[in-house]
Amino acid sequence: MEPSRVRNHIRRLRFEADEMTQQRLAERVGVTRQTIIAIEGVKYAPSLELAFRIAHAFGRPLGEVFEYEPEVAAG
Amino acid sequence: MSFREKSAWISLGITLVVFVPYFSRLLGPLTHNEFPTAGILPLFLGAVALQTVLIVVAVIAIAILSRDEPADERDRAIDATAHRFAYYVLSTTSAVALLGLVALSVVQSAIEAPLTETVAILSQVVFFCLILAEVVRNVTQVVGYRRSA
Repeated sequence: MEPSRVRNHIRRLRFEADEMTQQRLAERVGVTRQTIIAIEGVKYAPSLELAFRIAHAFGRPLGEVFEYEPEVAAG
Repeated sequence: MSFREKSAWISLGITLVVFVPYFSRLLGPLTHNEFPTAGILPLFLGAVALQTVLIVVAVIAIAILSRDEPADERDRAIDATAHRFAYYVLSTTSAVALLGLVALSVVQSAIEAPLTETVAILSQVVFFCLILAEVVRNVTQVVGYRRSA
């Protein structure tokens, strides 16, 4: 899989949410802990539905959890 | 490492351990223009049975030791990519192999070689294509999981 251009603030938000663990977040949004690790490490871009579930788990709008970094044009 | 990644590693390892010696054993006589037609069926059935038993036992063992985690979207994405690559390998290699064997059978009929030997070689070449596709599927899964870990 190619590195994702979808950046996120999940690690910070987990810390702010009473230091929520990756496992706990994974259980709340219905994925494995390894998938949460991959998302946090920008190794995997979640589907739109999963992104909304993660944002909902933190009680934040989608744009506060995820942001997209477009490719910088050469030249 | 998730249960599914462990399963992919185990399937890959066991397939290589069982079928590299299997095909090596067939390739040896073939290089001397011989093919073990008579003993090929028990060898084939034994290899398939051994692989099946080993994989079932190993997967049950890791399932007992692992957390129960149903497949999520990342698992399904990696699986879909792996099946797509395996399909490309299977369709390409089996087409090339069948075309090659059609040519071989024409040559063999010209030199009056036995039909059973041609059929035996054909079956094993197609079987090799299937095993190669399975190895490609497992490798793609392992790479997918490691790159996103």
